[in-house]
Amino acid sequence: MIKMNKPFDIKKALETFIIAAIILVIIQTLLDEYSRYAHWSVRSRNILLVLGFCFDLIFSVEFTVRSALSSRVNNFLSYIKYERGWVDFISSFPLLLLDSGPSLFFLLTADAQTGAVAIGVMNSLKVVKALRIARLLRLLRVVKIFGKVHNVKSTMARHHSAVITTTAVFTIVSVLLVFNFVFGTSSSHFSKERSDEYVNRIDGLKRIADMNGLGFRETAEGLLMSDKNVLKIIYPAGTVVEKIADSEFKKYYNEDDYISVTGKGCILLVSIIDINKEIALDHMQNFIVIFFIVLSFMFLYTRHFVRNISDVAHMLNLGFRKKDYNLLVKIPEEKANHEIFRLAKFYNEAYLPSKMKRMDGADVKSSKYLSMKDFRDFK
Amino acid sequence: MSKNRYSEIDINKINNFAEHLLSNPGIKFEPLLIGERKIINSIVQNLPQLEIIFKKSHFFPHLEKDQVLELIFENLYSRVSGIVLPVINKFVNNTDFTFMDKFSGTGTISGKFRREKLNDFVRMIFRDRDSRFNMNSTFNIFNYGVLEKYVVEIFNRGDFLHNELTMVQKINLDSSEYIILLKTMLLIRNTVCMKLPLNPSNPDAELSISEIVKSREMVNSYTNSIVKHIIPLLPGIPEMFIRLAVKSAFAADLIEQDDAAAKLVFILNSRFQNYKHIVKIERGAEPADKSWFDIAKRNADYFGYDRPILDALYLIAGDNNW
Repeated sequence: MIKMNKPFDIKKALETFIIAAIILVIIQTLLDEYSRYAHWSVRSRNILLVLGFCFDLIFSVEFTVRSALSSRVNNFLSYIKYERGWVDFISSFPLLLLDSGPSLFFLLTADAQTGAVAIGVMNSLKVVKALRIARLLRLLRVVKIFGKVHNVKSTMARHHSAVITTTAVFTIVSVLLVFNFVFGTSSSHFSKERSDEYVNRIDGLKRIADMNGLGFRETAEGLLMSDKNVLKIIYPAGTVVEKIADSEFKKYYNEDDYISVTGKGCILLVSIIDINKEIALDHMQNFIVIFFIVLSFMFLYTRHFVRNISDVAHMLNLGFRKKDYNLLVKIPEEKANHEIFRLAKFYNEAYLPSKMKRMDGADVKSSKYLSMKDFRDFK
Repeated sequence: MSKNRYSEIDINKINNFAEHLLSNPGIKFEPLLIGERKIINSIVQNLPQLEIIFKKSHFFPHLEKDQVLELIFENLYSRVSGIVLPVINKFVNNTDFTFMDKFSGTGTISGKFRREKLNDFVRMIFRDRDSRFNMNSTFNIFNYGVLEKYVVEIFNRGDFLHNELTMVQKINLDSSEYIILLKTMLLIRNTVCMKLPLNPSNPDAELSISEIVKSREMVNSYTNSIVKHIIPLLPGIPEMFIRLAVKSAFAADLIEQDDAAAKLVFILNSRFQNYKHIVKIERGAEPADKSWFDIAKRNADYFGYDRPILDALYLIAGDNNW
C-alpha cells in the first residue's frame, strides 16, 4: 500500500515557529533581567544579548513579511488594526534599532573603538541604556500568544478578551515607559548620581590631603579601598590598585557594571551592580505583573465573558436556527436586568413556546426531508 | 411478505437504497422511528416521480412499483423493529403483572398467558404504520428509564401528584407497580392511531383518533368503542387500565378531572415523542426536561396539558437537574 504523506504546511510551520519564538523571547527577557539581578558572568549576559538581537531580528522580519503579504491584498491597515500588527511593529523594529542592535554593535566593536570614537560610542551606549525599559515592549507579545491559545470555543469571547488584554498590557507598558523617561529612573540617571557622589568624595579627600600636607594616596587609598563599590584606583602616574583580580574583573564586569569617576587625585572604577540589580528587580516585577494580568484576563475574565455573554448568545443562536433545540437559557437572578438576559427572558418565555407550537406536527406532515435529488443520487 | 419472491440481489440493492436514504443529512440524526416515518412520507408524496426513477437502470427496472415499495417498507420495518421491539419485549417478558388481577373483574390470569397476549398485541400495533410512528415516545420512555425516575420521585415526595395518582384516582399501588401500569398504558394507548372497525353496524367504516371530533361526547363514545375492541385482545389487563390508556391519548379538558394517570401519560408521551437524548448540556442552559416542562406550561391550554401536573413535573425535573 502506498502511504500518502500529508503536504508540508509551511504557513502552519511558520506560525508554530513564531509562537515558539514568542515564548522563548519572553523567557529570554526574564532571564536577561535575572542575569543582571544575579550578576551572572559577562559571557552569559552577552549570550543573552545576542539571543535578544536574534529574536528582535526574527520579529522584524516577521512584521516585514506580514506587512508585505497583507499589502499585496490591500489589507495592510486591516493587519495593523485588527490583527494586532501594531503589536508586531512596536515589539520588533524599535527594539532592534534602539536596544539589541546598538548593544550588539558595541559588543562586537568594543575593542576597535578608541579615543574620540570611544567617547561617542560611550555616549550612544548611555542613550541605549536609558531605553532599556523599552524591552518591556517585548512583553506585548504575550498577548499574541494569548490570541493563539484557544481556551474557549467562542470566537467572540476570544476576540474581546484579546482586545481587553492588549489594552491593559499596552497601557501598563506605556505608563512605565513614560514614567521612566519623565522621572528618570533609568540606570544612567542613578549612575550619574553615583558618579557625582564619588567625584565629590575624591575631591574632598584631595583637599584634606593638601590641607594636612600629606600625599593623596596615603590619605585616601585606605578609605577608598574599604568602600564596597570601588573596584580600582588609577593614579595619575599610571599606578593601578585593584580590589579584585584582573581575570575575575574581566569575567564578571563589563562596561554596564561600573562607571569611571575622574577626580582631582585619581580615577576610580566604581561598581554600579547594586543599581543594575534594583532596576532588574523592578523590570522583573513589571514582567510578572503583566504576565499575571494576561493570565487573569485569559482565564478569569474570559470565563466571566463566556458565562455572561457568549454562552447566552450561543444558545440563542442554536435556538433560533435549530428546529429541535429548545433548552431554556439559565438566567441568574442578580443579572436578570442585563440586556442579554432580558433578551434571553424573551427567548425563554415567548420565542420557545411559540416555536413549540409552530413545530407541532410540522415534521409529520412535511415531505421536504427528502428531495427528488436525494432519491436520484442513489448509485 | 414472502422474501422468496425476490432475488438476493434485489434485496441487497433495496437494502443499499434504504441505507442511502437513512444516511441523508435530514434523517441520519433522527431516531430510527422518525427517520422511517420521514422516508415513507417522502416516498408516498413523491410517488408519481419515483415510479419513473425506479424504472431507471441503476434502480430497480425489473421490479414493479408496488414490489419496490413493499421491499423498502419491509426493510425499514425490520430495521426499526430490530431496535424498538427488544426494548418493549424485555419489559413484557420480565414483568410481573399479577397486581392487575386486583383490579380485574375476571379473576386471576396466568402470567404467561397475559404476557403472550400482550406480546401479540404489541406486535399488532407495531405492525400498523400510523401506530408505530407514534411509538417513538414509548420507546424513549422505556429505553431511558423515564418512568423509573419520575414515578419514584413522585412517590418519594408524596405531594399533590402522588395524591392525584393514588388517592383521587383510587389506584393504590406502590411505585414499582405504578411504573408497570404506566408502561402498560403507553403500550396500549397507541391503538388509537390504528384505523379500526369500531362501529358494529358498519364494519367497513374504520376509525382512528385523527378522525374524531374533539368534543367530550365524541371522545367518550370513541373511548367506549375502542375499549370494547381492546378488552378481548388483552385478557388480564383490567378494563379501567385500558380505559385510562385510551384516555391518555386525549387532552386534559376532554377527559375526567380525576384521570391523573392518563393526563400524566399524555404529557410524558408529548415530551418524549421528539426527544433527543442529550449527553452533555451546554453551559448556561437549563436541563432538557426542566426546559421542556417550562415551555409546555406556557402552552398548556394550546396542547391540552394539565397545568398542575406540569407544575409538579417541572419542579421534579428542576430539583433533580433532569
